[in-house]
Amino acid sequence: MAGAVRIRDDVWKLSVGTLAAARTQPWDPVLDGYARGVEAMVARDDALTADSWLWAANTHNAPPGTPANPMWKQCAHHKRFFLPWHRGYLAWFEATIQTLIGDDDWALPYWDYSDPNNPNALKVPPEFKTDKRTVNGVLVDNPLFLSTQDRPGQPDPLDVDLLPAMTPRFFVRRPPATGFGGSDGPENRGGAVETQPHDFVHGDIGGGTGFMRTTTLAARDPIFWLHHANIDRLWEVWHKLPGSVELINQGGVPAATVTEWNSAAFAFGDPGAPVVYQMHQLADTTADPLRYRYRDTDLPPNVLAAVTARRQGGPMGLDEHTPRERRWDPLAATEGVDVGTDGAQRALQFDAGQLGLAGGVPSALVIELTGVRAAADCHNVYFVDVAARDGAPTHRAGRFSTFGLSGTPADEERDYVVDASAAIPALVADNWNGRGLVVAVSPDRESGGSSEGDDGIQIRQITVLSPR
Amino acid sequence: MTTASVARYSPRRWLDRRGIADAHPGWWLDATAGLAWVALVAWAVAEAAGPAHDISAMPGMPAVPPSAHHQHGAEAWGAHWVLMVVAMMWPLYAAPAAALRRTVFRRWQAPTIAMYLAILTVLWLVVGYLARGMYLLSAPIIPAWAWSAAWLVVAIAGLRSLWRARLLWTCQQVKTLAPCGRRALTGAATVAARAWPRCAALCGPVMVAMAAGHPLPLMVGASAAVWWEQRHPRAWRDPTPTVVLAVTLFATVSLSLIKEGPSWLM
Repeated sequence: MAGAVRIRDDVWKLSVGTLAAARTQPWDPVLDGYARGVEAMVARDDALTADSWLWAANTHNAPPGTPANPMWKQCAHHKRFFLPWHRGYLAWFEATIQTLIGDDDWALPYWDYSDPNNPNALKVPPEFKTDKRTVNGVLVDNPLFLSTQDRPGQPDPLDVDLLPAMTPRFFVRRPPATGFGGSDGPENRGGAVETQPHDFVHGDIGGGTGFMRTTTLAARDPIFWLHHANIDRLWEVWHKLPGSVELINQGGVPAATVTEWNSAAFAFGDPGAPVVYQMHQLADTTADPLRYRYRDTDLPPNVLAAVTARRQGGPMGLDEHTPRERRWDPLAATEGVDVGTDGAQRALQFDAGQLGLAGGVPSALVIELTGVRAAADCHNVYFVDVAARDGAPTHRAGRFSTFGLSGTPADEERDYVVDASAAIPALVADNWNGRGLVVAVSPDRESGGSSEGDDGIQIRQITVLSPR
Repeated sequence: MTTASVARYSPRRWLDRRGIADAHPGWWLDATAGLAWVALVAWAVAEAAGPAHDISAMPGMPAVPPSAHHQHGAEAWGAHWVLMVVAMMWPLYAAPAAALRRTVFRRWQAPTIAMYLAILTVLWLVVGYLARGMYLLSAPIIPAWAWSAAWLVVAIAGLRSLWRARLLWTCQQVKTLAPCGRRALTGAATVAARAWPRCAALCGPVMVAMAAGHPLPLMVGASAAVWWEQRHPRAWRDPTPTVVLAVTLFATVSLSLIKEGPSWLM
């Protein structure tokens, strides 16, 4: 199939701008087409065909108890396939909409919530907030609308900062480090762009009750697809940055990882006649079968300058930019940490005999939180702080989003990595002896998520690592 | 080659710099598997060439009467099966072993990986004996080649399963271990036990196919299929392992029908 390359536009460039206008005025054809497509998909939910809304949503993930289907619950989160899988997923969804509205040129818009030139960038576009819209002079239900219960929030400015996502030069890194897209090991590690903005924006929009806060319901929110189109766009943005290296071009990545990557394929739709995207078909979005490009793939100048500076800067913890990774050894670990509403704190004594650290402090510190679970409900964001000893001042090492833990089966786990290297000078100022560390994990109560009946999170193991 | 270049690439310098203990677990597993393959080939050739050769006792013998296995006994069969597991299955565990190594203190790396491999090997041995017992019970009516062929057909059919494809995606994932001590060892054992159902579902049919006999073509074909699949876990309905197993099936049946063929092939 050959055809013109379609343009995916920023939804705010297509929006009528205000809630009142969205209710009464005609919409841009792209958003109108989206609404008609979603409406048509929802109408097929009773039959639950492969072009129905629920089928598309369940392909991502579905609540526990949903009947088994081999084409459902596929979402690849905290894996290096996060980006290509979602690219194929969006392409399949886009093709479904095209078919249902009879427009092969229709392209899914994206939501650039990081646009510094748009004062409304963080707001959910009004086409998604009005419960009614006017079609041919008649006020009708808006299929893109969700109640404030199901879509309570909007992105936080802190969470859409693109600097952490764009800084890594490499697509994958050896654990505990992660690249732009993930790690090169079998562990459950999210890449930089998946962690932020992806995970945080899910939590921001989903709040404590919304679809977007859990993988099992997120794709039922029409804004989900625009959020992921933006994440897909950010892959293109990163790809264009000088010095960015895709997985297949990196040195030092295990051959098995490269083979696994190159041979991957993603299937969607009817299991009898699935739509299959091979990895090589997903590399170039302007070629068949994808045939799209994004209107804007440039970083804002200030972010570009900051990324360039960090990429040229000296190594600091996990910001080291070499494909031949240094080895990180565990210094200390603690198990079975339950983090409730008041947080949890553990003093870890380093196993100095492992590395002979008695003579000084480590040059870098990484804190791994592995096997993190949420029994039922938890906050959307948690802080990780460190202190030189019990009673000493704490210093912020980092934070992580728990997107993917709430509303999923109890055995759903995530691993998180926090680079605490920047806190070392503060620890030294507190007369840190380098033979132990206090690690504290606490919920960010401003982050949304659980407020009553919080079951918190359970961390199987907290490990402190230092470079060899 | 100059003296300087010899010094630069000398194994001693490499060992001094890297330390052989620091080698990736995959290196050790591949090396051990290579030795196991050498032993398997030697075993097959020796049995075929031995003066007191009893064709009915050979690992690869088709249509084996149960009573004929008394000479070798369960111990010899078990030893051969363990060699097969090391040769065929251990290379599949390189990535999980590397992940386990990363989570524990350095002096606990070898014990935890050893525990992980031991549990998986013991579980494969249990499956081997169970499958062998089932085969021996059915041997009066089912010839060995038919047993192997039937399980190869099961394996080929399984390659079309969408659920099996999903299972492959998580085949290599491991959980975090305690960094040292008894909890690290029990953790490694638990990780192995949890991984086991996936191993059995993915590789079980080809392993059970060899419970009746394990001629070299069958071992090589089965290994090639599972290794290929492990290297391409997200390939969608990849025809390669299907073709490999189909050729193996054809070879297994054909060789069983060639009475005068080289016995070590059978």
